[in-house]
Formats: sequence, structure tokens, C-alpha cells
Amino acid sequence: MWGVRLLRLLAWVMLPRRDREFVLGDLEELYVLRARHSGPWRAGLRTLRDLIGSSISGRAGFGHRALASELALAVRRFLHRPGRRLATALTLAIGIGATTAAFAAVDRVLLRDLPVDEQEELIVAWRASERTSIQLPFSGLAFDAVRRGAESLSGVAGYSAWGALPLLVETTDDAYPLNGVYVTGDFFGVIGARPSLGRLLERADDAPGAAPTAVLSHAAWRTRYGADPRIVGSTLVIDGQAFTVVGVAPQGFEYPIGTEIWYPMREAYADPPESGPAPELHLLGRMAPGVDPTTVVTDLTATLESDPRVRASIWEARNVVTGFEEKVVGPVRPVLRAAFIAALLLLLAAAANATLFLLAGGPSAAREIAVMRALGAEPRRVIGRHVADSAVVGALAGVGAVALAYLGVSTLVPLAPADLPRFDLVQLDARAVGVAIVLTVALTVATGVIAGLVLSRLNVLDALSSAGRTVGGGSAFRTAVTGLQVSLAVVSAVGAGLLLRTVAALDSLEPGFSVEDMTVVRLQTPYTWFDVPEDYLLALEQVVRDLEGRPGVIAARPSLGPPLQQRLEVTLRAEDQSDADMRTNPTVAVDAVLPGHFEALGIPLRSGRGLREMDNRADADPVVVVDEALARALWPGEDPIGERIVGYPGRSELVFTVVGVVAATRYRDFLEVHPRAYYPLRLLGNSPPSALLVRTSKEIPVRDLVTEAFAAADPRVRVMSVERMTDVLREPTSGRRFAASVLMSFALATLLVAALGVYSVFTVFVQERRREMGVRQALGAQRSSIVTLVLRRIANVAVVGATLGLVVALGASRAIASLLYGVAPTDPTTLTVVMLAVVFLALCAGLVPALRAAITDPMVSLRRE
Amino acid sequence: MAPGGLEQVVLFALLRLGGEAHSAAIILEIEERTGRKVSPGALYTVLERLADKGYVEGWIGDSTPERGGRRRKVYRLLTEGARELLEWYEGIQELASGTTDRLRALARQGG
Repeated sequence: MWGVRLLRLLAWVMLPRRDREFVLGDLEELYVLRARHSGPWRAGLRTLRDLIGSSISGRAGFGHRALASELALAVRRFLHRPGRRLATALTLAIGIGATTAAFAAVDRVLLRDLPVDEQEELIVAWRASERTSIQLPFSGLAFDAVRRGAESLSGVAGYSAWGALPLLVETTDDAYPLNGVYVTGDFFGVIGARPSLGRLLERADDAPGAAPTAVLSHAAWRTRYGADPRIVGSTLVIDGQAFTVVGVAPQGFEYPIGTEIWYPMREAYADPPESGPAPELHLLGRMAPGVDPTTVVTDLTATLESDPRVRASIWEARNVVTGFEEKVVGPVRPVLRAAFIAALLLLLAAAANATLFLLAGGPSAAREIAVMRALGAEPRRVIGRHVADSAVVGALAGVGAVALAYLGVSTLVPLAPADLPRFDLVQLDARAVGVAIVLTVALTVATGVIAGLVLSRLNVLDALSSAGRTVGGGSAFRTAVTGLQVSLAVVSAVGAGLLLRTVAALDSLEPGFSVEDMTVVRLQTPYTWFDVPEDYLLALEQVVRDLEGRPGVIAARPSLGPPLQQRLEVTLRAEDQSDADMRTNPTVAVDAVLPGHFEALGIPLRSGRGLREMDNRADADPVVVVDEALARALWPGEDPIGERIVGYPGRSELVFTVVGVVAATRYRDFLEVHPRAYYPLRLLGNSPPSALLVRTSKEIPVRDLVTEAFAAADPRVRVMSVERMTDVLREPTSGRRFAASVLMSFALATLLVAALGVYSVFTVFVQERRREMGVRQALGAQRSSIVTLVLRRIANVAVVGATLGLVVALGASRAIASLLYGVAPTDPTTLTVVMLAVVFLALCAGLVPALRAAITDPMVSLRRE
Repeated sequence: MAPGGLEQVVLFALLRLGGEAHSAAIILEIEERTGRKVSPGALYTVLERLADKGYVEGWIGDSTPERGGRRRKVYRLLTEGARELLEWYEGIQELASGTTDRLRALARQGG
């Protein structure tokens, strides 16, 4: 029976070896007899009680103190003087808690498989060029060619190259945006995902003319629809079209990042679309057996190059293939890796502190142990006592760690920026708690054993013969440990420092246009707009006039897209450039604007003129305003005014004259200045303005005003969302900001722990040298020289530790290199400042014991002999 | 020594068991006669103490199947122990003589 076996095992663990046989025999004999009378269960319970009772009563066997009674003594010691041990438990709890929380995130986000089939077979493909940082799309034609012709892939799907974009969902009494992505019908089939509800999209959903269907993300289903299973089969009205929700995607699947709803394009990909924008896709493929990404690249290139029609439909660029998992979690990996390393550093520093605290009972503890040893206690007993002490501390630390980890996860996860993938999955689950328990037990035993070993090697006579003159037991060890703590603090602080400098660098970036007083309104423009651009233009002009007539509105101007999300990307050609020259031109983000655009947005005009009313007339000469970045690229060192360029999307026959140059902005890409060209809005190609930028002089209800204005001008246009420009521009830097705040808090905790370590080590140091210092003072040493003596010692330890830390940091900072912006991983300023700060902090921590030593009356010190 | 102290109880149990017994037998004997539950741990402590005082002596005995083949530690009541127990018992008897009726009456009142 397993119960008996369990009892035997328990007894075996709890009993000292010498008497184990007899006690086990008695227990078993009693159990057998009792089982005969009252059945195995009650007998088992009684035996268990006997076992526990015998441990607690102090003797598990014959003359041996039971582990439990050792524990009881430890609890008594704890309650008697909780200060030091409580501090130990708290430091350990912080270290273990931080590591547990970091583990929970790493485990949930990076280690667990994505909810897909054979994720290592899945790849994502796009096109890249030196001319732009943008991941360029494939055309529908190219997708069709790859689906038919690429043999390296056993399945190919496509999805919008521009990621999840907001769509307005309208109900009878409400309207809200959902981030939507159009996909090809076999998107979920290629991925091999299983629905958490209903079904996922299928190839039939994607047939031209099929009834519109959609799949919701698990997160959207939960937060937006209260996890109501009746959502399956219901319809959502998006842009006047009723989409039937056929199912809910698996939890933790949100690709492309931020997607809340997937819907099929219902296009014949091989044919150009009759209306609306042409599909611009990234590819998602499943590699055939034995194929690697390099082969896929070759295959894609061959497939696309073989058909001139296909080749003409895509960008001049190369194919890029990357693993699906890398694409999904790649962006978050450096953040989590850095957080995890920082947590481990904190954990090590905390463990070091626990050891120090256990050692730093000072002379009194050393004497107590020396007495134990002198009375014949084996070293094993000394160690046992310390293990018991650490077990009490560890139990507290473990509970505290789980509580702190829970607190950390539940406060940090909601703070994590939305563009970190899979973060909604992070929670403190059984695995994370298991890690906390294992760490606690391991650290408890390890610190207890180390402290016990060091102390049990004390010279008994020395410890007893004086009131602590030479009780230097483990003094060198303690110094080394605290030096190590200083190293850990330096490594952690360097990471945090580099990220702080990164955030500072990001904050100092000039967007190049007015931000503080600007509101971004996303518009949902109807597909039907494509038939009547003139109407839309008139409506926009009317809305602008309407808004600018309102008090509080300084200006309002449309833009093809909101900042950072604009998708109209073209290659322009100076009129005198050959097609070959054109291939080195950067890609340009195109905007179509109304007169007064630059003044309204606060973009300075560098030369020439802005766009005027007359440029927007149907019969006007085609003109364009370029920014400095484009001017530099196309006409380096020349005056671009009067130059001519070709290549407005959909109007390739037109030649535009440059009439003005404006300052470059970070409107398209916040981290990198991207060239821009501004055309008159009248020349609208195939993409409607989807943003209205409103500059205000005071707090006004922008959403209501804009809604009203469109209701009057063209009620088909809906307001999708209203955001402050500052919030919009924060998004691309939010991951780094998050990493900076996480690393900063870990680094501060590590510094605090190290400071505590220094404090406790030098408190003992001073106590141990009380006599020496008393003698010095008695012989006329100044108090200042005593302080100097202690501080010099601290400085030695701190400088050695910090230097070691610096060396480690030089290598470790490469791990966060991809998170850094505007600062090198080996930035000398950061390294120097961190090192000086840490040494200074160590000196501050040691100042208290140093001063205490100096103000002690030498007679008091000497009388203690 | 407190009346009914575990030491005396254990010594009497040992006596009843023929002056020689191992722990499990002592526990069962006490349980059967007095209804008092004794944990093995407490018994070991008492037996060790009695051995220190020279009242009992213990040695390692044989193994039995019901013990899972483990050996047992057997204790024997020594002369010194018997003398001490007798002395204590006579003392108690002397002290208690003529008081039992009143004691019963008092005990009943409380109930």
C-alpha cells in the first residue's frame, strides 16, 4: 500500500540514522497491530501523528535531537531577535520573487510553444531593400505565383503586410475599433491552429464573392465580448458590411501582433482588383520536409523572377525569410533576456546577503558557536543549526517571494506595452511557483551550509579567549562576498544605465512637427469612396473649414495616414535619372495634403513655397513639396526647387515640379528619418486620407467636433479613434521604456542589497577590531584616522569588486545591444558614472559603521577585554 | 515526581510485561491499561532518562516479521529501578491513605 510506503519514506527522512532502524521497527509494529483493530486509514493517521509527535517532542530517536526540534529552536531564535533574520528573509524574497516573475514571463512568452502545429517548420517572408527600413510587401499576383510554384513550401498563406489596422465596428448603439488584418483563406490552415471556439477561416471563405466571415482573437473575445460563446454565428458590421463571426482563435495567438480580428480578402489574387487597394501581402509558409529558410529564399526568388508579369508587380528588392517563432517573439526576446539576467544578478546578490547575514551575528554568534564546539558539538551539528536557521528564514522568504512575484507579475504585465507579443499570457502558474520553491530550498540549504561551514572552521580557542579580538572567522570570506555583491550591482546598474541613456536619447529626438497640442483622429473611409474622390475631397475641405471655425481649434489637416502607420510607400525618380539610377533611390512615404499643411503641423519651410489653393485645382500644373531628406537623396548639394520628379502612385504619366522644401520629420518612422513627398490632395491616387490631424489651443472635445463636422459634410466617413499625438509617438519606444523601467527597478534593488551587504560586513569588521581601534585611539589616533581606516578598506573592496563588475558588464551589455538607441554597449560615460556611483554608494553604506567605530570611547572598547 | 508521571507509568508497564519489553509493547500495554496515548518519541525520551538513572537497561534485540525484519531495542527493569518504583509507590499510598473517599467526592463535584 502506497500509504505505508509514504509513511516509511517520511520516517526515514525525519529520523536520525543511528536509531532509524529501531524507531521504524516500532512504528511499523504499532501500525500493523492498530491496522488489525481500526483499519489501515486510522492506523496510518495515528502512526503519522506518532511520527510528527515524536519529532516535535524533541527526540526522534534515542538521544538525537529531531530536525523538527532543531527547527523549533530556530523559530525561537528567530522570534527572540527577528531583525537580522527578517532582513535576510526579505532580501531573499526580493531576489527569488524577481527571478520567479522574470521566469514566469520567459516561460510563458519564450519557452512555451506557440499554439500552432510544428512551429519550427513555419516561416514568414517579406521583401527588403537597402533603400528602406520597411518590410516591403508581395503583390497578390506574387502570392498566387508562390502558392502555385514554390516547391520548398508545402503550404503558403498571405496576410496584410501592414499588420493590424483599426477597423470600425458599428452596432446599433455603439461603435468601437478592432485591429483587423486581412488574410488569405488558408492562413489558419497553414499555421495549423485549432480554434478555441467555432471554426477558423478556410479556403472557401476566401473565394471571390463568398459571404464575409471573420475570426476573433481570444483576447478580443474575452475583453470586448465578455467571453460570450454566443459570439460565434453573430454578425459584426464593419464599414457597412456584415461579417459573420465563425470562431475564436486559440489563446496566445495574435499574429500579426495586436490583431483582434482576421478576415479573408475574398480576392482572385492573380487578377488585379476591380476596386479598392491591391493586396499587399507578407507570406506565411510551411517548409516542406528537409527544407531550410535559405532554400526557401532561393526558391522564392526563382519563382518570382520566372514570370515578368509577376516581377513587374513587386518591389525591386530581395526576399527575406525568417522563422515564424522568431518573427513572433523576436522583438520581446532581448527585453525578457535582459530582465531575466537582471533578476538573476539580484538573486545572486540577495543570496550573498543571506549568507552574510547568517555569518554576521558578529562576535556573539561566533562565541555561541565556539561554545557549542568546545562542548563537543560536531561540525555537523553546527551546520545543522544553521540549516535550521536558514530553513526558518527560507520559509518566510519563499512565501514572501511568491507574494512579491505575484505582485510583480500582476502590476507589470498590464504596464507592458501592447507591442510586446504574448504578454497577456504571463501569469504566475504552478511552474513558476515550483521554480520559486526550488530556488528557495536550494538557496536556503546552500546559504545555511556555507555559513555553517565557515563558522564551524572557527578556531575555538581564539573565539573563546577574547571578546572578539581575533574572531575573524570568515572575515576574508565575507569581504570577498561583499566585493562580489558590488560586482553584481555594477553589472546590473550598467544595464539599467545604458537603457536610461537610451530612453534619454529617444526623448531628445525631435519629431519635426508640432506634437504637444496635436490630436490624431483616425477615419474610417468607405470603400465606395473610390468611385467619388471629388466628393470626398470637397467633404474634407468642408470639415477643415468647419473645424477651424470652432473656438479652440488652431488648425486641422488631413493626412494619408496617421503617424508611424502610413502605408503609401513609393520609389520616385528624378526626371533625368535612368531606371538603373532609380534603384538606389530611397523609398518615399507619400502624403497628399491640403494647402496650409506645413503651417498647420508646424513643419518649417526651408526654401521655396508650400502648397497653395491653386495647386489643388483640377487643371493646375503638377507640383510637389519634398522634405530635406528626399532632397539630399535625389539632388545632393543642389537646390531642388524647379527640379522635376516622376512617380506618383497611379499617376505615373505626370511629371511634378518641386516648388518647396520642408524640414524632415519622424512622421513615418520615429526612430529613423524617412524621406517624404507632399502632393496636392486633388491628385489622390488609390488611397484615401485616413487621418485628420487637429491642433488645438485648449482642451476641447475633438471627437464630438469631428464627428459633427463629418455628419454634416459626408456621413459615410466615421471617426474610428482619437488619440493624443504624444501617445501615438510613444508607441515605438514603449518596449525600450518598459525594459528600462524593469531593469532600473532590478538594478536599484541590487544596489540596495549590495549596500546592505557592505553595511553588515563592515559592522562586523568594526566590532572585530574594536580593541585594535581602542588601542590606536588610546595611543592618540584621531577619530578621522579611524574613519579613514575603515573607509579605505571599504574603498579597496568596492574598487576591486566594481572593476570586476565592469569587466563582466563589458561582455554582458552586448546582450542588450539590440535594445540600445543612441548609446554604445560599451559607452564609457555610462560605465564610468556607474562605477563611481557604486563605489560612492558602498562608501556611504560603510560610513555608519566607520563613524560608530570612531565615536566609541577607547576606554569602553578596551574595557570589554 | 508528579503523580502519574510517565516514568512511573513506563516502569509499571515494564513490570507488567515481565520486566522486559521493547517500546512498541510498552506503548500498547499503557494504552490498553490506562487508555492513555503515548507517542513513541515521548517514550524514547523517558526510556533514555530511566537508563541514565540506572533504573532500566537497554540492548539491541532480535528482529521479528511484524517489524518488517527490523531489530528492536529491548529494555529490562533493573533492581535499582524496582526499588525506586516501590519507594515511590509506597510513598504515594501512604500519602493517599484515607483520602480516597474525599478525593472521589471532590472529583465528582467538579464533574
